[in-house]
This record gives sequence, structure tokens and C-alpha cells, in this order.
Amino acid sequence: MTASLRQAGQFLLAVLLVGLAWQLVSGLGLVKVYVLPPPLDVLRAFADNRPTITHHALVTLWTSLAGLALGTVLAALAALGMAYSGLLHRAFRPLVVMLSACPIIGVIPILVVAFGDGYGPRVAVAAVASFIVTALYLVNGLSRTDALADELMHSLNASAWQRLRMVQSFSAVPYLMAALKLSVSTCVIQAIVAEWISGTSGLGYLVQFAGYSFRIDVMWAAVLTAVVITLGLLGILALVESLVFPWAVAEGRSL
Amino acid sequence: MRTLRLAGLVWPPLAIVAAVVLGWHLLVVGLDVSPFVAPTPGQVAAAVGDNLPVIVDNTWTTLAEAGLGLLMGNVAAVLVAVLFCYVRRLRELFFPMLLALQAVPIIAVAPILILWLGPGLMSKAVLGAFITFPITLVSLAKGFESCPREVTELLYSLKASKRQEILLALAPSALPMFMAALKLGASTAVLAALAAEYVGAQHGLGFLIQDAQTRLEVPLMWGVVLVVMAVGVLAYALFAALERALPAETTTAARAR
Repeated sequence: MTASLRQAGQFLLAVLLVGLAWQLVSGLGLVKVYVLPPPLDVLRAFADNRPTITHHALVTLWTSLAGLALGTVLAALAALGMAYSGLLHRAFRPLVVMLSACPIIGVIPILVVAFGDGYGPRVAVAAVASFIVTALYLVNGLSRTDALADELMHSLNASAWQRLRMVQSFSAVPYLMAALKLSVSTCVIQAIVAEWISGTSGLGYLVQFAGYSFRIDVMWAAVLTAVVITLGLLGILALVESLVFPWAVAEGRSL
Repeated sequence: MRTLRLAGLVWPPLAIVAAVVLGWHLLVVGLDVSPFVAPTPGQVAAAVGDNLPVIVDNTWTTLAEAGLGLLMGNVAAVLVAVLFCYVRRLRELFFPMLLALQAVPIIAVAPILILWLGPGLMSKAVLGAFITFPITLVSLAKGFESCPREVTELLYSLKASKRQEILLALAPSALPMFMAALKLGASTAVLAALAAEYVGAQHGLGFLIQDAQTRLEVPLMWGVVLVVMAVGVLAYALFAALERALPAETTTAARAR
């Protein structure tokens, strides 16, 4: 506990130092204000435009969360299929690995042309991105069971469902949490990029719009809001993990 | 025998791809989908064939942006990682922030970068550098950490200089993680280039996709999207092959991971 407090303190100190350096560099006029507005200006822009920024932030938040939920559920199904069938595993795993190297945002214009620029395409790309990460991690997690527990289940003649419920789900939890942590930031990124290209709301749209109207301070405020959203979601995940799966925390660290 | 095993590995994913392409064709033809919504695979292939010179030209642009970004990000990461070795205090102070930076949507600064650096190559490369920098730096820092204690202690008792310690002990033990970071970074740099091209560009595959979109050349758009995917996969595969070409003992640790 003291170790994590110390870490949090160091993190805050580092953030403060960077903020101070930023304020000095742009506050003293070393760079032009329209290039890098001082952080205090950005904070003021945030305060002045709070309703607007909150509105767009919520859009991005819900898009990312919807994509995260959809992608995770689909990934769980796919991982179960791959864990049970060797053929499915051999067929799909290389494709999912390939997909993980693909710039998924490439398909956004296609989806926009086909389905219009509503929430559907944005949630879809976020879902695909989190699906890839989570499927790969969960397949590993489901297969890396404790050898002793495996033997015990075998000698007790346990059914596949019992094995899944009693052994595999436990080995999979640290992998699931690690995958969720990766997915959270991926989903926010996908949502933001999708909002650049399509739609009239969301932080991605706000960054673009503020750029067109040369409100660089609002741009930075929107970017920092995206950062805060991601870190907030990660914090919630870490909290849930330590409350619900305390045994998984240490294991997950080594992943 | 070896080719037989390779064939056994290759046919299941190939069968899926073939089924997807066939299903795509049948769906579009069977449901009589408008070519503006979804073209057939044949139409897409024809569009790619007709526009091959333009596509190749723009692929080079995107590759140059991604490559330069990957290079800048990794050079910076190596320099900072070495600096961290010399000044432990800096590492302690900034490492948690770097971990957070890895998770943060840095990509959102693309419009700002384009405002600063213009719609040319540099804004895309700098975005790629921003995104690959924390990936490599965190990997290197963890890789340095993974160096066995006995080795660093031996070097210490032999009065090795910091430079010798880094070159002889730390760098080799960080190599597997560095290669993994390069693999991930290569595909991420393509993603960054594409994303920045969407925001503002006059060249590149992202520009070409949007251009085809505004001219409603839907088959070409699909074709270029497939090319982008292939570029991302090939960038990853290139570094995966490089990783395999390294002596086995340097990469086994990464494979086991």
C-alpha cells in the first residue's frame, strides 16, 4: 500500500514538473501561444467550455464503453470456441494475429458510406479493436491452467463445463483484466479517430472543430479530457480488480 | 515432411479467408446490394488493378511517414533509456508517467501536430514517433531490468564502466523485448500515419481513401483499405522475420512470453 502511495506521489510530482516546464516555456513566450498555449490557459478554456466539453466527452465515453462491451463479449465467445476446438484455433488464431497488425480505423470511411455517420460505425471499430486484444489474451488464459488442478479435474471425471467453471475461468481472469486494460485505451483511440472522420459529436470532433476555428486552447482541453477519461477508466478497472479478483492482481503484473 | 506440416498450418486460415471472400461475393450478388454500399470482390480487384500506379505511389508516402516515425520514436527511446541507466532518479520519477503515456490516446494530438507542422510528411512522422516512443522506452526499461543480478554484480566487481555494463549486459538482455516493441511499433506507426492522413494530407493511403470516398468510387475505397491493412500486416511481419533471424538464444525469452 505504501509502495503504491509512493508511486502515486511520484506520478503526481512528474506531472507537476512537466506542467511547470510547459507553463514556463509557453508562459515566457518561448513558443507562440497558438502553437502551445500555457496549461493555465488550457484549464481556463476547460472551465469556460465545460458544458460543451462534457457533452462531447460523454459521447466519446459511451462510444468507447459500448465498443469495449461488445468486443469483449464477442472475444469471450471466440476464445471459448478456440479453446475447445483445435481446428478453430488453428484456423482463426493466425487471422486474429494478422488483424491485430491491421490499422482497423482504415475501414471507418467504408462503414460511413455503407451505414451513415451515426454511432454504429464508431462502436463497430472500437468493438473490433477490443475484440482482437481480448480474444488473443483469453485464448492464452483459458489454456494456461494449473497442471495439478487439471489432473484433479481429469481424475474426478469433470465435464467440460465444470472444468471451465472451476479451473479455466480462474486462470483466464488475470488475462481478461490485462486485456481490458489494453482495450480501454484502444477503444478510446478508435472512437476518437472515428469521430474525426464522421459525425458531429465526440472529443475527436471537438478537437477537429476547435482546430478549424483556431481555438488551440480548446483543442488541448479536449485532448487532455480524452487522457483523463482513459486514465479514469483504467483506475476504475484497477480498483475493480483489486476488490473482486485480488488474487489476480499479482499474477496479472507478470503478464 | 516439413512442407506437409506447413500445409497443415496454412490451410485452415486460408480456408476461412476463401470462405469470407466467397460469402462476401454471394451476399452482395444475392441480396443485390447497391455497389455504393458494398462492391463485389471482383469489382474491388478491378479497381485496384486500374489504379495501381496511384496506389503504389501513395503507399510509398504512407510507408515513408510510418518508417520515419518509427525511426525517430525508437532512436529517442533508446537515448532516453540509456539516460535512465545513468540517472536512476529520472527513471524513478518519470517511469510511472511513461506507463500512463502508453495507455493515453496520444493520437488525439494529430490535428494539433498538423496545425504546427503542416499537412506534409513531418506531422505524420512526429505523430508516429510520439506513439512508438513510449512503447519502446517501456520495453527497454523492463528489458534492462530483466538482466540477471549475478551478471550486473559480476560486472560491478570487475569494475566495468557504465558503458560496458550497458553494452555487455543490459542491451543483450533487453533485445527480445526491444524486438517485440519494434514489431508492435511498426504496425502502430502505420496506424498513426493513416490516422493523421485522415485529419489532413495531400498524399498517402489515408488521403486516397478519403479522396475515393468523396468521389464515391466505392470499389477503389475498399481496395485501398485492403492495401492499408496489408501494409500494416507486412510491417509487422517484417520485424517478426527480423526477430526470427536473430540467434535463437536472444529471442527465446520473448517467444516464451
